[in-house]
Amino acid sequence: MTKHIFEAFFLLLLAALFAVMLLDADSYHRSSRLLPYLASIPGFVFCAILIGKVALTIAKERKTGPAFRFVDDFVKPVVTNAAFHLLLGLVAFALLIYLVGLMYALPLFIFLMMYMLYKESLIVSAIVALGGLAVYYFVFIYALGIYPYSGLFG
Amino acid sequence: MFEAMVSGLVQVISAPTIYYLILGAVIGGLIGFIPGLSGIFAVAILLPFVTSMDVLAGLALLLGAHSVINTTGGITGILFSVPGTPGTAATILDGFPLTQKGEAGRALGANLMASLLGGVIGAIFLSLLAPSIRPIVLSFQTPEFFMMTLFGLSVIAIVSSGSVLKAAVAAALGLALSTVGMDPVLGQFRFTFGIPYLSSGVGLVSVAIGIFAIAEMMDLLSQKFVKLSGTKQKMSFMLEGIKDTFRHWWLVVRGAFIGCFFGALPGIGSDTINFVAYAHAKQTSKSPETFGYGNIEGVIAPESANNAKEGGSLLPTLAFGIPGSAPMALILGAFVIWGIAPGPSMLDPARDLHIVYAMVYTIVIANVIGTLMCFPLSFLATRLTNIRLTALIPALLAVCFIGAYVYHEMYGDIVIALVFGLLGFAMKKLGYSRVVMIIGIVLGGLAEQYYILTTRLYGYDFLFRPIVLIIMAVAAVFLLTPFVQSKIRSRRRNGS
Repeated sequence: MTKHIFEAFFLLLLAALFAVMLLDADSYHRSSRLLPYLASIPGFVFCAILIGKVALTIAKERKTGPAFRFVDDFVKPVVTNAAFHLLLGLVAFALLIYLVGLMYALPLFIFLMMYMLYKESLIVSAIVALGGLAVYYFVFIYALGIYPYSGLFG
Repeated sequence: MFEAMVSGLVQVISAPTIYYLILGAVIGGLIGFIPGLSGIFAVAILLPFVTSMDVLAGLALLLGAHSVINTTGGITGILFSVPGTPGTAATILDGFPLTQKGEAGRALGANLMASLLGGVIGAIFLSLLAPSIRPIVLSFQTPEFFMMTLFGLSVIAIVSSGSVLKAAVAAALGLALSTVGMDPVLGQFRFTFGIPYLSSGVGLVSVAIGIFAIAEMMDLLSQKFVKLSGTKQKMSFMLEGIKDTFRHWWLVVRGAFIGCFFGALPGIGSDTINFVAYAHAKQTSKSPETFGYGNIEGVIAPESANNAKEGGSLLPTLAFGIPGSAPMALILGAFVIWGIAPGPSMLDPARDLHIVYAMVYTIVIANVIGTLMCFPLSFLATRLTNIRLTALIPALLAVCFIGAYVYHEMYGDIVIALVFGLLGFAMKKLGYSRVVMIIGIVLGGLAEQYYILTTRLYGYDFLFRPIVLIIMAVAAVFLLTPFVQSKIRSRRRNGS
């Protein structure tokens, strides 16, 4: 059931995206509209069909299966999933890069993720984080001359 | 002509050209290993150094680096699902599942040997066709290029598996995303929603890193894996991969031919070519149902094609001065700096044909050096798959974000990688093909551009051009084959 509800959300989001593209494409020049129409009209229709199919499956399972509790059966499995934690970590990393720049965010992210999220030892986390910083400095800045995104306060 | 061949060889293997060739191969190999940096980057950073060099030494440095980029680019793809270059994205599809099955060494052995053979076949293709290519390439105009992009899109029917509706949604999403940014003909901004970053579209490298690498890592963690692979890798596994490549020698040749042919067509890059080769391997395989779950043929065909492409893309560059790819445009720039005009004089044995043959030998030698250099490097890299994921994933994610950033050096690429990581994870969990979406993004913009140019220049009469008809027929065969094959299989099953 969780998977079907997740899929329904996913398809609703995609359908909304196709609908926005379809409406936005209306204001473009004739030749600029062709591919957006060719992509978003079938995309929206296929999403609608799939949403219908998923809704039917959910309705069927609700009748035959155990009662569905939104928090227990959907919210909790998602929130306690390791992939969800990783996603939160990634969002935090993107925010860190924005704030302090790529060079400082990199060792901070590696250290925080290893030490706090995965409970690796302090020394191993620090060594990997500093190793990451060293590789970044010597490969990208020193050898290739690519300067990192400097960030808001970096 | 024989004199030009011998002269080219002697010039390449003599000092200092051979030293520059080795240096170029090492630099290219290292750049290919870093996600986000592709052939254009290697040629771009080396270009300022070659302007004051001798022509052949400069070409050895540039081509030596460019020829081995895809060889090492496949290593990170196979081991960690992080494509080293956009041209190795298809290698991940079966390379990474092989790593998860404990066969990383085998996949890497096949990757290296297929890359070497593909590169050599591409160079032979260049040497054989260089004197007689003119009428073939000249017969390709915008209608033919448009049909080639449609042919590329027909690959979607082969690489998608499972629900047709889900594949159609993924294809529509890919095509829709390809329209983000500046309109290729009128220059109008589409779907940018006032965000300056989106004016140049969504970056393919960041999308590929997000949708494959980040999504795979999220999936590994959600399934509570401890290591990427529990099997300790041995050198014999790599030898097994080499044997696999020779067992599928005909697939290597066909992959190389696809690489050469598409490489010779300007505007069609290795990001498209490796998916076409992958689709061909799946279509002609005796066990297509195992593709995506670790079939070695899914590694061999794209790797052979993306290295063979270099020989093909040099053809229009040398014969007409039309760059076959972005790095070739820079090499063309180097020719201009050296005072050499690409064109008929390059194919004249009395004038510059020896340079063409020197380039052929450069590609061959660079591929051999690249492969020899990669064997110990790859073997060491396979050991990384035995490290705990809790230690490996933070470092790999940091590499992914750096890879996404360095391509355009824009913060928006990091956000794109993150968003597509989430999208890729959802697509994987729910059974929507990520490959189909990537093909849509890669080919959507090209198809639109060529379609508008074709209809403006030729109207709809282009549909009756002979080469267009041939490509349409081949695309139809590609589209119909999976349906016919499944019908035949179900009939056989019913019969037995």
